[in-house]
Amino acid sequence: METIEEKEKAIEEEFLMFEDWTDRYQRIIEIGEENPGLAQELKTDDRLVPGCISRVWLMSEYKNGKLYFYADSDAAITKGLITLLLKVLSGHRPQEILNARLDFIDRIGLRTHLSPSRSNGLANMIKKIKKEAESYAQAA
Amino acid sequence: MLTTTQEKTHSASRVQHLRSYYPFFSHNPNTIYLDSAATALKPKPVLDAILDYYETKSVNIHRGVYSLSAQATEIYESTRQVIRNFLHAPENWEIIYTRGTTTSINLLAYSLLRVKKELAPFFSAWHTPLGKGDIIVLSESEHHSNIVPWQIITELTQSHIYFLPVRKNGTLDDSPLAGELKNLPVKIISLAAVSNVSGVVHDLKNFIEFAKNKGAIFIVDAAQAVCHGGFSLRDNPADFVAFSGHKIGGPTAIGILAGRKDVLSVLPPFEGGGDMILQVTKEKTTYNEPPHRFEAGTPPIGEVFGLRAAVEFLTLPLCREIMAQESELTTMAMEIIQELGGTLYGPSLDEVNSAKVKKAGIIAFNLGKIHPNDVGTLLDEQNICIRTGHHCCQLLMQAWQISATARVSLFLYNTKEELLLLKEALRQILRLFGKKIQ
Repeated sequence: METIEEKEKAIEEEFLMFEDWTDRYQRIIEIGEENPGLAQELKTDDRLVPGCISRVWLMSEYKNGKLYFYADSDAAITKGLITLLLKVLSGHRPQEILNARLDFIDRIGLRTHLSPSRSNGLANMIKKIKKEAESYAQAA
Repeated sequence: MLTTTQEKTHSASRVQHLRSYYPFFSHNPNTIYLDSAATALKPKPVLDAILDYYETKSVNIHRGVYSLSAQATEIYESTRQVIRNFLHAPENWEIIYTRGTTTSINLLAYSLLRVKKELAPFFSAWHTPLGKGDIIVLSESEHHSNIVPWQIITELTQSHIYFLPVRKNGTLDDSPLAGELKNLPVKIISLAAVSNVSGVVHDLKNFIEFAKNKGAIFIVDAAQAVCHGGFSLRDNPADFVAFSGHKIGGPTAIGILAGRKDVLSVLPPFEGGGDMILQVTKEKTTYNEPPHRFEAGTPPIGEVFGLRAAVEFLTLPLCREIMAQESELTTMAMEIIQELGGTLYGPSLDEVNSAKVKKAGIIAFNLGKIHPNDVGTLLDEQNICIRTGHHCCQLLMQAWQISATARVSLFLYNTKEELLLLKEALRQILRLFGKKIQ
């Protein structure tokens, strides 16, 4: 199984090939489309990531010492962004998720999405994922 | 006599000249700013005026014994007359400086909460304090700042809010005035003059007349009106008017609450502190006259300097002439959205063109099924600033059964060229999403 860093590296390499923002966002939207999302009954308010204008639902499952995430959003770019995060972080041990620096976001040209005022709320998604990881890391 | 082409060139060069007053454009030469309904860019005279206060005066006003304080006080106090003129308010009106429209409405709401019978000579509905069963009339299209303060005071008084329904085209339905509301104890009506989502310039006459007949207080949220054609008390004789300085290019954190002197002089204060008192003893404090009664603490002096400059700038012939032509840009923006197959919220292009509905330069829209947030993000990639979301109007979103919209809003400095670039940028977004999502 690839490590978080290896996964980050692969995404980074893919994104570096893109020439402009249209290619970059085209790919982000595609990544979102590859995510089957969540069934309607799972999209409950308690699963909403706070602080995003577009709605993002996130749920997690702890299995054999590893944490798996599932997410959905009503906006295509937001769904792509959360899916990108899950590609990297889902299926790892809580402590590994907590340690992840996620520098690749900056390196693939999406740094502006990390600003706390961004309505896409990528920063809030990371916060929520890390919080989940933290609760399991403490329990483990 | 100018030919049509010459007139067009003339008006375009006027806007170019105006843009030279805005340092924003030299700092951000590639940015297209289409979010003025959130806050307007600041022209140089406003920045100069703020700097002038801090550089050359920088002292506190009112009780200073020295001449610098007197000079600052003079500008601070005489700005009230500038605002009076701006609103076409008569001499017997008083101007209160607040932090913005939101604070103005909160001030009024909290003050009215404490009124016993003092307002009875002015408003017959107020022979009793605001209490159980009393009605506050708002509309579904109000900004949250004209909803939440009233919800807070209804909780404290067991009074109720009646929300006037909003039609699909953004206009207010006045049929409840002759129906449901006719025999109800209405004490307050508070409505926006211009919607910050649909851009509709509301026809307030019937509502004002209804309030007069009921002996109720009529409050206007003029936050968007002042930057889209202006707000005149001659056209809309309200009892109170609230607006924010930053939406007309003034500084943030300064706004106005205007009302009649005699009415304000019987209203209890909102905040306590310095400047608003006559005498303080251990037992009791007596309050200063309005406007000072409502301006506790060291006031926003630099902000008042800036606000004055903003109003003076906005009332220059150059700005007035450009503002009078806002509708050209408004319809052009609407045409662009329509041409791209987008959905416009509020009045239709036909209704606007036929002057059936008056609309300011605020255009809410969506592009097919593309989430407005995605539209905003991808416009940002192309250096275009718009706003997306519920625009602090969740009740309107609920009435229209949508969750969010994109919103383009225009001000003096926007050009047709910018709108053409917006069109190109939106096209780019449509291409990116492909046909399938449409």
